[in-house]
Amino acid sequence: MNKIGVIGDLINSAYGRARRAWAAKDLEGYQKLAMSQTQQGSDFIDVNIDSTTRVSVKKEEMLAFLPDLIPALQEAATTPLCFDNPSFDFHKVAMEAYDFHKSAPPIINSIAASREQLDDFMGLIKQYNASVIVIASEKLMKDGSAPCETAEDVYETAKQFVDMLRTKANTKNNQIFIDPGLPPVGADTQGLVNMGLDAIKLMRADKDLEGIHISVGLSNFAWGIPKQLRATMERAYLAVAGELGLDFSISNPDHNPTPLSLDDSYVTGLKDALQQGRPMDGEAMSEAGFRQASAILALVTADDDDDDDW
Amino acid sequence: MIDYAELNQFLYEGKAKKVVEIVQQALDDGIPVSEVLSEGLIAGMAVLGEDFKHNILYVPEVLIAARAMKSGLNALKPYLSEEDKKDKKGVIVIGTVKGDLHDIGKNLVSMMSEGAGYEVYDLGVDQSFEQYYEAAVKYKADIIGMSALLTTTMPYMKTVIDKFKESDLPNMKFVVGGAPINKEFADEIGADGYGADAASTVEVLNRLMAAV
Repeated sequence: MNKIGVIGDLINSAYGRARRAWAAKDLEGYQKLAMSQTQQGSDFIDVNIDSTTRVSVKKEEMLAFLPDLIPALQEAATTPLCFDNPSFDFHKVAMEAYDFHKSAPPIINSIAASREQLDDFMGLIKQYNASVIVIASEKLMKDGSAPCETAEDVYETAKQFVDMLRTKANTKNNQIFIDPGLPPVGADTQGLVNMGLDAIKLMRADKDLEGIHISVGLSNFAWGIPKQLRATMERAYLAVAGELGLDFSISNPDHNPTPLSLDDSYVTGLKDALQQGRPMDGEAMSEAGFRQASAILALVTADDDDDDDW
Repeated sequence: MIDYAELNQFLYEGKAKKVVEIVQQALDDGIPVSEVLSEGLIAGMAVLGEDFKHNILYVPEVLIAARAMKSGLNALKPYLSEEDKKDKKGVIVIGTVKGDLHDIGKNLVSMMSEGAGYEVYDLGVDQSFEQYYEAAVKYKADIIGMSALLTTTMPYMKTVIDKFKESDLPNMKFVVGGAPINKEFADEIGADGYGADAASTVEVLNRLMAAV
């Protein structure tokens, strides 16, 4: 199996370390996170300094901090950065502050059908020859956007964006990272994990998409399941999706985000649960979805020894 | 006789068929619908919400239990009298805001609120003020729930709240939540409540309804 690249996601105020660095505007704290993730083998360092449920961040505050933060990160490690924010203004400021001589081009994370200013994004990507993550789980509609409902939707969206990026931003396939979407598996009663996996297959079968990267945000996948199994389940997903052609993940380097062996019981268990999530003839999606949720629950609680006295 | 502890337990374990069986038996035995609802179903869900909040339960367990709750509610519904219906806990209209297509958290809140006895109208994703307003009028909503995952879409929550203030429903109550949303933001935009997660959102709804 091919290697799965890592976009280290520890610079995100959902993590305590990053939250403390943000609160103190502690550049050294951020530098430590860039260095440690580089030592752990990250190919890119994700930079997300946005609001979370625990910290309120104003857009102006973020934009004012970037010109200090970015040079500090690039000084600590030359690992290229991956700027993680939905707003165009954020990326414009980030591109201006980024030293393109010091590190390889950064990733703009992300564009999607629902983003405002898509044309501005195209101009920025072109101007800086940046790489880009495309969220392909939402599709372009005549007047706006909607969530993708099938793997074909995701695949068509990926093709549309690849085409748009080529013509409007001169982007090459290997600068494009398609994210087919990855929900928390424990809450996935709508078949969305399967939708993403099927979309990976479709994309990898298309010669025109040769050379694109396929990436997911992994840290959300195991949300809501037992803590001690989160890393294992993330690695099980990497095995299942990696086999189909996933080649990057935005993930926590502390979790060793490498695929488990294909014969590991969590990999076969996950595959089996996902198979149970596929509706049988005439069956409603929710029936299959709850069967999948039950199978996932059984997989992650099999070793719970509730009756132990210790 | 109905064993409420047993019904609560089956609900907790998400055994939908057992829940429906017991509910049906109780109704056949002539036990008041309102009693089965409050002591059998809503009380069971309250325990579940509490354990979920304290990480004793995992997300798939809660989903499966919420589904069993829904089966139980559906079995009860035909027996509800007009009087019982008037007794309802409250009407919630919920959806993710305009430009935001992320609905996993919203779906959880929707299920948990329904399980807690609320009448929930889930509008889905990408909702404009006009859509919230129309639904609020149509369903006589007590509270509107808004969710957002993106910092670019969360300002629209304030737009909705402001427009309601200027409408003929200026006293509408709002609860907001989502990954980038916190108490500070909720207060700033004039929301009446902040739902940090699905279980605590139900508590916020209870608090707001108690004040009505």
